[in-house]
Amino acid sequence: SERIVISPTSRQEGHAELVMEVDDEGIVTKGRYFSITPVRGLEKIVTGKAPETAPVIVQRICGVCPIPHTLASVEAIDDSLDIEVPKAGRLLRELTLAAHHVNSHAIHHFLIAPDFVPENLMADAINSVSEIRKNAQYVVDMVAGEGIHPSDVRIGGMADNITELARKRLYARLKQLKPKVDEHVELMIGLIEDKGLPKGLGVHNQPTLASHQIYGDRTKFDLDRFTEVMPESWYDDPEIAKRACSTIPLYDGRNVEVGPRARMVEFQGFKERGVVAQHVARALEMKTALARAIEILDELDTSAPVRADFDERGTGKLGVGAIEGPRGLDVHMAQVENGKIQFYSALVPTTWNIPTMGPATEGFHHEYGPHVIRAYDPCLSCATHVMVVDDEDRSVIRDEMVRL
Amino acid sequence: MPYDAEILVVGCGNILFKDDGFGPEVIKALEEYFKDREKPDNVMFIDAGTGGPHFVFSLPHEEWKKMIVVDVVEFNAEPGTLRKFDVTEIPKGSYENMHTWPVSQPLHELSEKIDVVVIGCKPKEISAPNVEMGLTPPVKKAIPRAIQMILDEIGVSK
Repeated sequence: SERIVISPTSRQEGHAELVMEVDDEGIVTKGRYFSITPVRGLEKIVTGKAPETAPVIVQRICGVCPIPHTLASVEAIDDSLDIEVPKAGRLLRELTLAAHHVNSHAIHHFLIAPDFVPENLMADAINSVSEIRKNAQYVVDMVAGEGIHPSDVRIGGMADNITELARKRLYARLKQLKPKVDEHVELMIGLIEDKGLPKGLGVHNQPTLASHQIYGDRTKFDLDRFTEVMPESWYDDPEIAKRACSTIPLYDGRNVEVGPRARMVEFQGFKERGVVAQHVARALEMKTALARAIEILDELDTSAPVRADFDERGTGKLGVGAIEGPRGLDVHMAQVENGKIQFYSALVPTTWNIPTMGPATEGFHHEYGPHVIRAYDPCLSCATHVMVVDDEDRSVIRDEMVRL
Repeated sequence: MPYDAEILVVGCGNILFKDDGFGPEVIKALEEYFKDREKPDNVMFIDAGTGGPHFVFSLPHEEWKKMIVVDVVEFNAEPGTLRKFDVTEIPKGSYENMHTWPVSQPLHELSEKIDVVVIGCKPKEISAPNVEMGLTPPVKKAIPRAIQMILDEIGVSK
């Protein structure tokens, strides 16, 4: 048998390595995927600081998913401080995330375009991605203050409601965008289904995990069912275990899949599995998210309060923020006491998927390995929670110190 | 947008750190003040945030005649006290930015060419590195008087 190593895996965010053991026909018999992105350590940076520091700092974990991280952060602190966010504030947060989903999924279509889009349609597909992103980011910018790192998503709600004029404009703009998104989704799904990928590629038997169809729901994430193991006790290859930079989160003791397909399985009775199903679910989710954004803009009361008053001293309660990021469930946990953050932890989408992705390449030719990986739209930048201690042999620190 | 006015009012500071947001808040209040009043053509208000030294002070425009910098200044007074400072009173090292290349004394250099004054407010609390948005009450209360001082400087009567 032979070992195929792709390092770093391409057309994804952050750096990861895919190691595949293959038999004489080139069929993958063992697949391992792991993060080799340096640690961020943002949880340590915000510990001991005033609560408002957290959303501002942790949204900088990465520029790919800043919206989910900001939302998960404020939701965790809202929960720790027992804040009830006013309805209009909740709607504006959901609108921000729905627009972000549309934008982020469109970016992924840009990343997978070389896999699926033929030369003669490439320019159209890329223009379509740009057009959709421009409009989706306009909504995030208007509602949350900034398109990339939103300034107006705050503990207790949002900094301001939008004006009636802005509501009408955004509503009209998204209504206008709908045919464009429908057309784009149809194009991508058609190309993906016609690609002729082998049947069953990427199918695995791991459970799916999702808390909500679009936004996220902390009551659907049960901390008691969550455990975490270190890479060294997960990867059976000591060389890989030593270099892997993310912890392995488990739900009911099993590694899971999170993301668009998981959400559709959990909330829409979607039954399909594997690479094509993941791409189809992601594309369809653009339509679901856009429809929800339009619905919110229709029902939003622009004269209603959007932010609750709160006492930022806190009681030390462990707050949980569960947000459905484009790539899956993003959980932030925060404990506020004496007006300062005492504990902070971010359990991010791709961290959930990492242990599932490698084995999902098994049973097919190794040339399909990258297809399996890209179907998860992995983003490693925030998924890294382990620090390298030895630059020479690139080993990471041991169990007791890893939980950054 | 080029900063091509004769008189510039430049609010400096970081709104994430309590009273450090005084300068930008004054600019916001000034814009509000002139919403239904006629603003002189030759004046420009700039919320420079933390970028004043690099993106305003060190990039002079030939139109410039006077710059009014609005910021918090540490001096011996009650929080919220306002004072007009001459550039020579600004301690060495102010307006250096740790994040990029050093701009040594950009206001001092600028004051050799144009008229530079600093409207300074004594802060009560600057929360850095803790993010705490919003001014403390005494500093917030100083905004209307700061506006009056700025109007006097630009020669507009209230």
